[in-house]
Amino acid sequence: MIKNYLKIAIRNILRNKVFSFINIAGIAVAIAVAGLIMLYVQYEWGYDRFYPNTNRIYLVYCKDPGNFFIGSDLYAVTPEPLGTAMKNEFPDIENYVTLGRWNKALVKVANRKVFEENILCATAPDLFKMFSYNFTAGNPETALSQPNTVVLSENVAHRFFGAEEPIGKTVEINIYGKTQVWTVTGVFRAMPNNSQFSSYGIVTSFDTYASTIADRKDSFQWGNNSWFTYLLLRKGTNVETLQAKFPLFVQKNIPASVEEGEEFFLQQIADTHLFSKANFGFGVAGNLSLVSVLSAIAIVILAIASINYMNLATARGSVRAREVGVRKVIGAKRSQLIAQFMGESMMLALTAGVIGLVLVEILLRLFSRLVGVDFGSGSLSHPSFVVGFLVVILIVGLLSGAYPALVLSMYRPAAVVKGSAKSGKRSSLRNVLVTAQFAASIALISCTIIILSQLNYIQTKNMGYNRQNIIVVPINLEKSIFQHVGMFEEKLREHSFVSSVTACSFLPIDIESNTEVHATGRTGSKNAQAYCIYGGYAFLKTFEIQIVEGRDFSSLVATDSSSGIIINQTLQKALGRDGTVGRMVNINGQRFRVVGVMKDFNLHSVRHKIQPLFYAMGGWRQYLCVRVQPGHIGPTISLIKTLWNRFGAQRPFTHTLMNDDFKKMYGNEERLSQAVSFSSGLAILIACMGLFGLITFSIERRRKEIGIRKVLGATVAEVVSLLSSEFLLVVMVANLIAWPVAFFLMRDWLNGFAYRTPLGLVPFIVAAITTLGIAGAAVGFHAVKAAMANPVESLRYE
Amino acid sequence: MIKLTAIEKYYENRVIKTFVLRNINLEVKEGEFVSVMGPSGSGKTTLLNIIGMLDAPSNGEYYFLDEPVHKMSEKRLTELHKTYIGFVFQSYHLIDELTVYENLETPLLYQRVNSNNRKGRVAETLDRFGMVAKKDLFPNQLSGGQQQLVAIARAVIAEPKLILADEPTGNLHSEQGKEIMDLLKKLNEQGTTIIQVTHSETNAAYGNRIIRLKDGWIEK
Repeated sequence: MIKNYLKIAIRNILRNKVFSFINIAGIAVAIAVAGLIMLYVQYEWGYDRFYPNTNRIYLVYCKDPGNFFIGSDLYAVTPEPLGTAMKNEFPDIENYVTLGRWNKALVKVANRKVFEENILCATAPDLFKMFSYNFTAGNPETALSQPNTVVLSENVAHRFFGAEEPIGKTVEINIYGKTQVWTVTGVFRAMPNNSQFSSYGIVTSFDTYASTIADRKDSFQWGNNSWFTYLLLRKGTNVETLQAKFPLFVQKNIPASVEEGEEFFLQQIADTHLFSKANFGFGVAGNLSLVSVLSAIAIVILAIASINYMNLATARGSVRAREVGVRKVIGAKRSQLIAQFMGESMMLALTAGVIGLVLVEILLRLFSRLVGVDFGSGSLSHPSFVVGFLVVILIVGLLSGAYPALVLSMYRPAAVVKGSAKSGKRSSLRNVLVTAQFAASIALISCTIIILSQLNYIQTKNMGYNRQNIIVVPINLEKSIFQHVGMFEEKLREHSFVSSVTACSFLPIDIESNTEVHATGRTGSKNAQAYCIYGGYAFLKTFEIQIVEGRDFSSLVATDSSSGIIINQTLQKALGRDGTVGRMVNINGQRFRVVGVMKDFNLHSVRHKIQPLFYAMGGWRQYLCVRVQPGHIGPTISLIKTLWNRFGAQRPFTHTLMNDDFKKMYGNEERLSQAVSFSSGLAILIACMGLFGLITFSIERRRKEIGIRKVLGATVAEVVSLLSSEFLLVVMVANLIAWPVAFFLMRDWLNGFAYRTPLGLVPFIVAAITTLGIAGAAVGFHAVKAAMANPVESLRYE
Repeated sequence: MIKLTAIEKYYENRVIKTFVLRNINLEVKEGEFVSVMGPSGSGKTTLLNIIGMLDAPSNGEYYFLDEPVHKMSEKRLTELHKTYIGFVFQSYHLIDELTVYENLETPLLYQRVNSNNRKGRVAETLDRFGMVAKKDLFPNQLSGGQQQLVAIARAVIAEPKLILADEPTGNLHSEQGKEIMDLLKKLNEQGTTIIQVTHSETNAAYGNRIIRLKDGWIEK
């Protein structure tokens, strides 16, 4: 029986090449898209979710009331003594880990090579136990119990020592400017890419790490939040009840001198990636909006392709009806026919699935770049992907097959064998489905246009600084440059193509540090929370930020570098009367004079409103920024590199262009726009393929009618409009449905930006014209061909 | 074998009832060869479909082998018609996607005949109808007469007690038509009850009884 069904199915596929192609190609592409997206969603969803203890591991995060950083006063970093104190206080806590990290440490191996590595220091062996590290050499219990010991991941060990045995070898690590020799005592299997620890290939003994930073004593005290605290709760612990006890714990344990009303909370570790609530989290923050948008897109595209199958299968119903009738006459039960048609759609879905898998394989690298995630090797053979992929195929097969199977198996044999089957006529459900397909495509197109115009707005908006032709060199970790930055700047200024040079704590595109500015207490003045940026004399000049009041810093005024600040217009407003040039303000106990007011510029992404800001000289420097004459970027980079080496730098020279850093800041928006534009293209393509199939069929069926109309004197134009009006009407209705959907979705999305492009009618009109045009072309081609045909041909056999 | 009492069939819309069959009383005994005649639209095919359980009467009683068909469930009906009744149509109604062999095999598949038994019966039938050489051809590779031959073969392969033939020679030229009629006659002589609808007096003469329909009534 199955063999019989299979034969029929295969012969049907081969016989109706156009329909089969539309179905298989559409479903294959849809399955491939769904497969890729599933890979991404599984990756993101599985982030930090795979440790055997995941359900019981919690991150402690802290609320520092009033201390807002980019709109939130929650922080993932906590004081070092917290873990121990909590463990002592609460029996519900089975274990805890306190983590410190040092990114881009310089590691020298046997005097040969220098590497930049990320280092983790933790209260081992609790770290290894809690996160189930898999050791291939050494004993996790004792590996870090001696001073000056480290364990490495297999990858790092291989990078350092090649094929040689790593145990017992030594490495020199520079932390906070101090170099120490460490002995390798263990090797562990690298964590998967979707673990927050994946990029940390070195774990050091906590005590030795602590001793290297011992002169920074406050690192280990309450009030200094720079450690990550993870708790392993006992089975059956109620998190709410535990959290409720924290306020009392704070009162009891934190010395009154540093207590500032902090509150502590717990977040399940697996939620910290996509649903992170706190600033400065450990791992890479996940892109929840991309995950949800892509999931929705996968479902929409699968639905569009399935609808194609349903529509074409039922439209061709009149052809299959005869077969159904005959089968019923010779004894088929309805259930057997349903099984047959379901079998056909299943087989089609399976065929499409195989092609889809090939597409996934081909597109994987491109996709991985698109979403900015490295899935790692073997991701396609991972059981969760294989099972998920099969489930997708199964669902598509069932979904597309169910409706045609029910409809087709319903035909009454008497009517069918008499030759009066009433299928294939204008079906209202079919029109509803086509409308839905097009509505989805149109909504996607409108969204694409709006997202692209917002991106364009970001790219072209005057942010208040000039980001072109600026080379950015990170210098904070390179002692030899950091300590002689003035000389380094001098050397650069000697060249005529270098317009200006400044060292600064942050780039103006994303300023991360803030503090309290106290007014002097005069009436009409107010305190204000302000972001701060440190730079040299040429800071404003380098970034072409304008002064609107007062003056820029000058080397001729001695007090400028020690006690002058320049505030932005927003801070000026916030300070009230004290925000005037010449007035004094108090910052961290030191008095500063306001020398000038700079024009507001966007100090964060355009998602956020412009915040109060001041610029002062001195302080910490992270970057050296070099403005060059247009066209001189290449030579300047090689010049800086030469100087870099001449100054005796140990680290390899790295640089970026400020314009690229700016673009990277909008990576999420960029990814979203790429994902949405790509999928809207696909959606409209698949939908049009379906429309093309339907019109082909509809014309086939109405060939005789067209013949008769032509004999009666209808012109080609009249026939074309007769054939296409129905479909164009559908597309028009789809537009009306899609517009409000897209409008509300995009309004919400745009509301996430403090600065945004206005939401006008244009995107919707463009979407309408596009879809009408494409649909018109798909329909028109066939309609014209049918209308031009000689009527005698179609009427001959009647 | 078949007993129809006061069978009526009509189609209704809001305004009018259109009668196709009126007060049909008919009995057919096992082994009979009945020809139903009448002008176009007189209800011949409808009558045949009702007897074949493809269509339900609007009123009246129908007993098949003494069982009340008008009271049966859909499932039982399918069961009954697939075991006892074979159909032959004017336009053959073979499944285009299946070969001659597979077309013959299909009814046996629906009756869950096991594989060996099935192969045997299909081979035997092919042999009996002289179509062994054509078993791998598709319907559109055969002439009309050959197609109707396959259709009859398919109707008899399940060894039905009753064959219902709706103008079996309607699409054939006279030579082929005669062959088909001879075949039906032979099947009847071997014990199968046959009811055929026909326009042709010649063909009607193959049967041993003629029923004439006019405007839905049986002419006395």
